[in-house]
Amino acid sequence: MPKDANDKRPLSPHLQVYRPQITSVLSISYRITGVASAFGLFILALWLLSIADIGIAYDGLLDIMNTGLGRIVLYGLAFCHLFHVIGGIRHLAWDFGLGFNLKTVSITGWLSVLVTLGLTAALIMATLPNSMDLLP
Amino acid sequence: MSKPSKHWVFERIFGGLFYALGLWFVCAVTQLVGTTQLEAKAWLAEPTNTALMILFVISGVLHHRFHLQEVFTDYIHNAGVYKAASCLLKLVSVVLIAAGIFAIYTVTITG
Repeated sequence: MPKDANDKRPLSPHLQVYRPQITSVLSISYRITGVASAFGLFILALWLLSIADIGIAYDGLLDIMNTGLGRIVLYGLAFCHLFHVIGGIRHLAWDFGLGFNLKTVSITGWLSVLVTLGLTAALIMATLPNSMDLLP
Repeated sequence: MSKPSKHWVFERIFGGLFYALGLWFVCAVTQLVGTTQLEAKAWLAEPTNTALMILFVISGVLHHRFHLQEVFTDYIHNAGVYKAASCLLKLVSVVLIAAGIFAIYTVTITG
């Protein structure tokens, strides 16, 4: 927001009046996953504090993370992080003026979705067996 | 460099740094699932991991701070609310970085 309230800046487009397209859907998803990832920082901080025995018990935190809801939140965050990281490649390329061709945008868009889903599935499969050992 | 272009450049610098460290973090944490507190402590106390984790916390928080600031700019149209939200964002960022580094530091000295 500008310091001077009269300094009119263009508003962000109103999402609901446009037909969803891969470009617009990925654009807003990129934002949403970025914001969601920020909540992961709180968990990161809690986890580090728990390792150091400051204010929160390590085993207690792990117990919470290992509940069904905890897993859903963690895997959801992992998905958001990966989505944003993969999408970030496209955004960085755009910053250098690359890949703006509509067809290219569409292809890289769908590709980023596939890669994100694949990596999230791989991450879940890599960590799920270990966490099962922790369950009573 | 103007303030907006500084913001643009720094968001990308911390984004890039966070990017590389994020890949390291995902690999590391995937290995750490199911470890005991002692094992996690020993892992974090290793100098490489200590250094990377500190950088990860700082770059992660700063990148998100830039990102959220931008979201606020786009969607909060009330000057007062915007100012309050921005201050809160700054405060939370500082607290998160401080808490993270304090925890890492404590682990390295207590082992």
